[in-house]
Amino acid sequence: MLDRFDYLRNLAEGYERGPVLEDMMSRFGTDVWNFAYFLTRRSEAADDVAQEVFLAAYRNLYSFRGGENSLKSWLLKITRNKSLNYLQSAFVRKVLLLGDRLPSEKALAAEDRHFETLEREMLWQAVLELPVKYREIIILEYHYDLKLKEITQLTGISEGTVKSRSHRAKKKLAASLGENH
Amino acid sequence: MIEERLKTLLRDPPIQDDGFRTELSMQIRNKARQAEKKRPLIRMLNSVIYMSVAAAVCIIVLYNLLPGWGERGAGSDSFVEERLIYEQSGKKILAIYPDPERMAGQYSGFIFSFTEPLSVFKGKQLTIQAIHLKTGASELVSSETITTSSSGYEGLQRYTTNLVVPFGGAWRLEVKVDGKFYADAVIHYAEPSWEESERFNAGTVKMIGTEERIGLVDVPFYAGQAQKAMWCIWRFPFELKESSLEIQALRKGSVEKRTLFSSKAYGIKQPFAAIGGGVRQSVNSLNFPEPGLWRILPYVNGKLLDTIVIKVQKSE
Repeated sequence: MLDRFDYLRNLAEGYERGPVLEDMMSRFGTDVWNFAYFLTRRSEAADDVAQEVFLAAYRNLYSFRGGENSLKSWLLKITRNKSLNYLQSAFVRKVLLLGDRLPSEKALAAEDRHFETLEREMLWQAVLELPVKYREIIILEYHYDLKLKEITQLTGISEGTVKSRSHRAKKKLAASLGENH
Repeated sequence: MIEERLKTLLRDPPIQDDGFRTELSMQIRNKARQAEKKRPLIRMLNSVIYMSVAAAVCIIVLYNLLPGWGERGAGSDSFVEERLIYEQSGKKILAIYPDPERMAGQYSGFIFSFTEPLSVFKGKQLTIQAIHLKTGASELVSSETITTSSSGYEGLQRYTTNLVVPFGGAWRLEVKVDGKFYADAVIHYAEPSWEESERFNAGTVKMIGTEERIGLVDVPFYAGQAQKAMWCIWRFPFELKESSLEIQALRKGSVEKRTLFSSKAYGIKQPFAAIGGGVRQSVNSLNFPEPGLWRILPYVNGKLLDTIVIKVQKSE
């Protein structure tokens, strides 16, 4: 079956990449930015990462061979690598971790209005408080709705580890929410 | 079921606004295009450098829309009236919304609201310059080629920018389109504070300046002696191949700006190194000729980013 991005399979060298970039950004811009934000928890870092991701994708477009689903995984994979690089950079460890905080109170206040339920708000907050190795699994699994196999491909983490992290993450969520899910 | 519940609750992101804003995609598009054509990167800097303050600017707008906003912020030497609106043949074509708490020496956001349609500006160079009425000193506010409307608007009703001015008093903000006068406004700034800037810790390093904007590693400066200065600039989202850093300084009581460092003068094409997360670092040498309080004025790509007040000690 053909999907919106199927033409990428046949993208020849020299093909005008501009429209493809537009297409990718309009379809996956928010997904990429949000994932970067979920992992880094800093909107300026998410800006930087999103920019790097699309520029990297743009540069490597001719080598990509796949349709929409794998394009999404591919972009999320680049996002993950760049976000983890960001978190691991020596400077961030030394300097910015001090500022490594949850979405600011201001942002939460704004979100209050948006949340349909308090439950949703609390759950997201608990997810964002998880250590990054658990957080990414929960977000890929439940927010991006990826299959186990896709998560292992995307993260390069074995199936067993993904499963156990997912399990532990849910336990931690339950604990921090103070109830048994 | 737990699985279903998690899926339902986590389906929508917890962020109200779309972080992947039109401006960001525009920025990526420009960069991709520039990489393609290997053209010098000149245009895109000013429009988007400080988008991270957009939220703050929104708050300023709301605040300004409250009754009586026009009277606020009048400085002491108000020999020229403040004027936040520009009319042409009886029609308002520009209104500006400055930060009511603005003070010289400090960073503050602005909104320029243009009422004419986008077609008047599209493809043209929009330049805003601030001119100090008392001394004639001039500061760049922004300069860019207009390609799209303000996010969520049909035209430039919400053109956001920011400004740091070194002196208090009346400043005229002059808008030019393709080099021709378009409109202006006059605003007053309170006199700047001459207290030493705040010190903050960045990890184990003590810095002086404005946290999360710009800081200088806190080392003692002695008059007449060159000292290595290490800068960190946050929220600097570009990896431009070329950029410039010029460090000027003003001694307390003087209006004469002295240039202590200029990357261009040294032929340095890129004075900044990226150290992750939108943070840029630069190292240079500064030599303050006299002891006392100095206001350091860091200009990045021609624009004053912030000001930092330090105390320069007498030589030992």
